[in-house]
Amino acid sequence: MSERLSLVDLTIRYDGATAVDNVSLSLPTGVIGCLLGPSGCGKTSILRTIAGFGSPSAGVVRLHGDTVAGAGWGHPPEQRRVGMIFQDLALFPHLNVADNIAFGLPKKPVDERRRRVEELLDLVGLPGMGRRYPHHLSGGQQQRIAIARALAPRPDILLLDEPFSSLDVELRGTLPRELRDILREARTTALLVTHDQTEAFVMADIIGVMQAGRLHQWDTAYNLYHRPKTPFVADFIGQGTRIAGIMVGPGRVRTELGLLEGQVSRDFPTGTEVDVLVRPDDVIIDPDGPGEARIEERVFRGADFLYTLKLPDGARLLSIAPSHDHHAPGVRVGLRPAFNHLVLFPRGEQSSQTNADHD
Amino acid sequence: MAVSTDRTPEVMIDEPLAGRPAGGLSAWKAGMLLITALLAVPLAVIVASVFWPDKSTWSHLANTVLAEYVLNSVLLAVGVGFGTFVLGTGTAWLLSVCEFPGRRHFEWALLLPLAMPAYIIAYTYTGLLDVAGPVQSGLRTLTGWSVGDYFFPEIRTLGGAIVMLTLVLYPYVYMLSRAAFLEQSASALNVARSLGLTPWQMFRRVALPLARPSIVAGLSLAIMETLADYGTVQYFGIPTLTTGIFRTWFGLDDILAAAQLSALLLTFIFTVIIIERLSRRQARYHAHGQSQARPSFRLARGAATMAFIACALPLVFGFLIPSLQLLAWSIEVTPSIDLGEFAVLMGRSLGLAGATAILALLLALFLAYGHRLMPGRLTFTINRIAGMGYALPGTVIAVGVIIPFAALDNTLDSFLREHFGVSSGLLLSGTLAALVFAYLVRYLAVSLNTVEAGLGAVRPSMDEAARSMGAGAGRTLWRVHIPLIRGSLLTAALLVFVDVLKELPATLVLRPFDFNTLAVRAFELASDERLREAALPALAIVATGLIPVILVSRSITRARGHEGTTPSRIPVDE
Repeated sequence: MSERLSLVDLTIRYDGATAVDNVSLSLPTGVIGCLLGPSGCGKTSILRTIAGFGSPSAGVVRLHGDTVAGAGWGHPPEQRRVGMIFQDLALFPHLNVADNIAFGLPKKPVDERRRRVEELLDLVGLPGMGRRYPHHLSGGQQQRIAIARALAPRPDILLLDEPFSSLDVELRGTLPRELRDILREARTTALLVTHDQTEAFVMADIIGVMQAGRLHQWDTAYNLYHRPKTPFVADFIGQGTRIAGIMVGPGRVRTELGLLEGQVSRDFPTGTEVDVLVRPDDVIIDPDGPGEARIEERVFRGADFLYTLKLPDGARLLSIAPSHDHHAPGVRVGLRPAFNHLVLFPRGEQSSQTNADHD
Repeated sequence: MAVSTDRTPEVMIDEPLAGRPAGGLSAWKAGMLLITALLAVPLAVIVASVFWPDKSTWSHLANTVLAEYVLNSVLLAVGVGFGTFVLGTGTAWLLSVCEFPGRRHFEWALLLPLAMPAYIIAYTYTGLLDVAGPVQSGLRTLTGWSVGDYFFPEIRTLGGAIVMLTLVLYPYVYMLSRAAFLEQSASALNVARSLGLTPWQMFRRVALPLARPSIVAGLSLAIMETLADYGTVQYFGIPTLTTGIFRTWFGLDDILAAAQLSALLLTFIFTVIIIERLSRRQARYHAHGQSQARPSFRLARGAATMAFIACALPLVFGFLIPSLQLLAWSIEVTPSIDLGEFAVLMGRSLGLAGATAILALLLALFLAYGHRLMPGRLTFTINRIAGMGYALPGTVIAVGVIIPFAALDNTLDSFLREHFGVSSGLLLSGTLAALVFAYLVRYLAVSLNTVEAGLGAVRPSMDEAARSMGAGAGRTLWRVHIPLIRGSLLTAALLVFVDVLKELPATLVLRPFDFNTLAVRAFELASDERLREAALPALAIVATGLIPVILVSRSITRARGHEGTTPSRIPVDE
């Protein structure tokens, strides 16, 4: 797998404010990547810089091994072979579907262009729609035409800026999957920007979690959940809380839940105070368990209950229990840890979630 | 539409689409600078004239006629300001909240007087009301009096000029204050009504204060046009700053003093502009709560008749009577005049206006798209300066154009004579090039504002989509923007076309020898008391002038459903 896109130490500043801070990542050919993060984290700035709608303040952008942008300069977008799907789709209202799709095709014989347009209409599952105008199409159809239009010139990479944000809620459920299948079929290398984890998980092979201009982790969804590298990733991806612990040996942590042992994400010297990430499936309510907690809240979720538990030291954790196994709020229960591995952070390292919207 | 909490209001990229300032773009920027620099020459010349050491004519003027010029100009401005305020806001308020027969038609018909150039209405009424005119003859036939037996108001006075200008300029105030009344939150008016205010109190205590910025904007347009007027005051023989400029130039043969007088006139105009800006800055209390129905007073028969008459008067006197009179005269003289000459006149006017309109459109597109490609303070400032000429009266532009052109001609001529022994004569001054340049200085703002508004309605993602698909700036303009904004482009060209067709003072001075246009001919014939013969060219001008009026009234009718849309032509932003 060759490297299609790489960003090296990319920094973007606007009027002194740093929107993107020293981000490096690489995306292999044929892989769908995603930048995931709250509003204002800098993900869209990265996308626009890759496309050529702005240039880096520092660092470089490489496409196919060629450096296309560096500090203060960049090739113009029309020379980059980068396809882009915009938030508002940006279909040209004065052109019909076929002309929209053919817009980026190089000057070729008419029937060759027509063949390519038909090929793409088939790809996105809208054959025979070429004569319609964008305003005749539903939101989902417009979305697919935008994909077809962006793919028509066979770009080296497809960039998608919050591609589902303008769709209504129902389509947001089904369209990411369809879109993923289209991109897979066309063997497209793509980079998606979204704030929605579900979209990211459905679409992407590799996901970068961003916050306040920093790329926290560039990894698979599995690793983001199970091996988060920073407290922010741990908090942002999936549910979970952190409880205090102290290292008592390699891979051994003493906590309110008792002595936890297991493979650790990161080892600390004995005696170090740490925070232990507890996912809802890491603790099981068990009368014989070594830990003890009071049920604070119970949310019925169909197949299971999600309990919020309060430990004697005041720390809270979440636990999932089968829905036939229920406990009333206020009741004291026993807890049994069931960690496969331990995710540890030095004590007090903040997730700075509160800063997420800053920028 | 999905309810999205994250519309990613991330930082907008405020730099060129191409990160590296490509060669094409810097050439584009240089072109913008050049265009604006050229267009700014007349204004610069006028401003520079103030610092010219020789002030002998100036002190002569100051000791004699200057005070009269200023006094008349100010009185005219104040009178027209008052008149247009009463007519404009009054009719706008009646049509916004009252329900009476004919209301729907008055909404657009009240704009019709805009098509009537002031000098044309002035001479039409002169013909109607003078001793030999139909009104006085009729009066004499009716009463048996003879000339001298009775008092009849003389129209060729300052008061007459105020009435004439008011009749054709009130639509500016009407248009803007009506839009403001419609934009006002219905709930504010409903609250006022529930607190027991009568319509009159509502108008005075709620609607008027809320609409003040728009009313001031309309008034400032009317006053600027008044200060710029040359034809009416010249025809009525009222010495004002504009007529003074020409008198100093041609009578005293001192163009420098004319330029200094122009600078004084500009001071008044820029004062008006600054007052307007200040009033706009202070107040931006638009409320947009339009779910409620706005109050509507269904007027009883007596009141409805009064309202009808109030709206009909400006329409009848500002448009119907003068155009019917022009029509009657035209029909009367058509058999006896040389239609060939009229066709030539027509061809010249249309050609000149058409060429200028196309040039202005191309320049506007170049400047507006340049700003879109290279957003930033520099291109913004360039475009604002390019549009500044709109504030310059035709007389002032004529002075500002002739001085540098003549200087250029003289320099060239003496250079050629010295080195080659040939004389180039007057190469530029007195040519159509000088005239078209003057038009561009004055009217580029009209096309620039329209094109900018059109481009502004095209989302930036359109440009970016085209660029990311391999289209460069030029192809994007050609294939995306021009098709998307062709309505605005057409409007921009039309507005300039009509403005050029009506333009009088600059054309009068800068046209090549013996080159007549409709406006010039109508004015000359009228000045020679050949009113009937002047009617045909005048009628042609009025008919063309109807085009922008129709455009605006269409947008008013369209906006009636979704209120708050201001008519497209508000040339206040130059």
